[in-house]
Amino acid sequence: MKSNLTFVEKGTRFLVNYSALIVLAVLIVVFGTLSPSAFFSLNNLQNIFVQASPGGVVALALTITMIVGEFDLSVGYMASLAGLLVFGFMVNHHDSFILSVFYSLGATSLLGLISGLIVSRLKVNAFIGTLGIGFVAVGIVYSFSNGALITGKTPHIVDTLGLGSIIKIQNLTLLWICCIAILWVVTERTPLGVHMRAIGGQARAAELVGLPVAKIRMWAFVCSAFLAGFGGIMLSMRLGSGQPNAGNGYLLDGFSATFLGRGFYRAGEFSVPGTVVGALILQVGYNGLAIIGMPTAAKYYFSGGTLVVALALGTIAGSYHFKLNDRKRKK
Amino acid sequence: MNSMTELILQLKNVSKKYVGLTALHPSDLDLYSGEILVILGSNGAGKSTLLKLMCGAESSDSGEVIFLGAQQKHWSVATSRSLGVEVVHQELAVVGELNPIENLYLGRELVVHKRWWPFLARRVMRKEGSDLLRSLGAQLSSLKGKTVELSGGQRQAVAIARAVGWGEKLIILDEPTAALGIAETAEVEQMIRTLRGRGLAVVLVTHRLDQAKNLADRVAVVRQGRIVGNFLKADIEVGKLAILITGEESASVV
Repeated sequence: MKSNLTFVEKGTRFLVNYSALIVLAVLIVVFGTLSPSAFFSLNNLQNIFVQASPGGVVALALTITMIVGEFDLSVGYMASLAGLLVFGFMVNHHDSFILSVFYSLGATSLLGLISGLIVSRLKVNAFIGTLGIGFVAVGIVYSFSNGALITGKTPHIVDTLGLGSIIKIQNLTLLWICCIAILWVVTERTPLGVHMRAIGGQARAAELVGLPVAKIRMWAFVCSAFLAGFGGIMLSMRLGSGQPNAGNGYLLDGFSATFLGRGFYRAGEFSVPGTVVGALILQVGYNGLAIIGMPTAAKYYFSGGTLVVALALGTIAGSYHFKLNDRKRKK
Repeated sequence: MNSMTELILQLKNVSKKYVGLTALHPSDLDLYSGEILVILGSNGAGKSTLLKLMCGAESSDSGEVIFLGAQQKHWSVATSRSLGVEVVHQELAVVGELNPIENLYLGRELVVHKRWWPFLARRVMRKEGSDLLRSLGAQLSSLKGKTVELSGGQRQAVAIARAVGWGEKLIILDEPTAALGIAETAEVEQMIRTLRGRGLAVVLVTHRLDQAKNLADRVAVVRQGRIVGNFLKADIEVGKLAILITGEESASVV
């Protein structure tokens, strides 16, 4: 059927559907113009990606719960917990790298399972449930380290993964790309992905066709906590130490990235590709502001401002889609 | 009924009580293949309870449910669906965020196994799904866009097509045209006739007497938790139905 939309409507729809990509392109053009040699250098491009990687994985964790219509306020604390635990096990308990990662992700996954049970089975509001579990994670962090940084001799693989690269692509970036690829396949190419989107879209309708809504939501929290922990471990490998609060800031960035991501791929919805673009917008912004010599405060203005703009754009996009659909139906 | 029809579902002496309320007194109802049974009644009359007993969403407090001659001791939604019974709910029939094909196959996606993981067989589903929609006379503006972007009639067509795709014996439609305009209602009504033509047993819950008159092969009227009228097509009179629904006068059962 031929589209009945006017040129202006088509243009507006394009802007709404690709707003995140447009914002990213604008940022690249602006910072690239202001400081072309520094911004476009190979070293800086590597920096942008490697700095975006741990937070990008945490943002993906948040995306999983957002897709099923929930949210997880504990992701930042989970990242801090896993990042600290992995160093704690390696340095204080002399456990192997693999075992330390296993224990750390096991701990965050277990907390994710508790969040999932609280929210999906006991029907506790996700805001309260995940915030509570987040504080439990903080408690574990302080019990484990007394709030101190953990550093010391670690296996060689920590430096290799945290600082090394393959064909000029940093290993942490490769890990982020692996997470993106796996989650994209699961959410876009498997029945589970369709079920997750159906639950996030209309849980009651999904229930009526027999989908296990509570079970899928519960596992989304487990997956979210696991991924957040993984992001935290990536960050600690980059920092070379376990820091009690290292991942806490990823909550705000994660929310900004996921909401910015609604302006790309599947407009108005949360998606893996959208979140990746959102995470890159934030990192390009932080990097560009630092390159042109803006003070640290600018980073926070940008971060907070971006979240507000992302939320506003999401609302405008939603209302625009409603109006457009209404108009299309009338035609 | 004529000799070609098959008795699909029998509700014998079924009833349902909730705390402090009898939603349905002991009632009998038979559903035949190739027949549209319209259930009429005002709000709270017991239509929804009857519908839920038919599809297994509620279990009966008494009596028995017989499907294709076999008594069903554990009549649940899962059992009824596995035997070819599908319900099109009035609201929430489709997920607006998914595309029509995803909605058609929701919960029963076709997959291809690559190594150890099931991947969506998207091309096969698109081909078979569009064929199914076409065979029912549904014309959608897009199969790739979100279902929420379709008109009410088109969305209902997707919901009915999904039921037809899996409901091999009985399709239950709960007020499928309640929110639709005249043209869209006509489209959906035509689809319902197509279902009858395919030999399916169709149950249609509606408030509209004209729709009952036009579509029904049989009408059952429910009032205050009882089936107070059960008419064959030739005996359907709109005036009589209205009296039965409102309860101003009782009528004999065929």
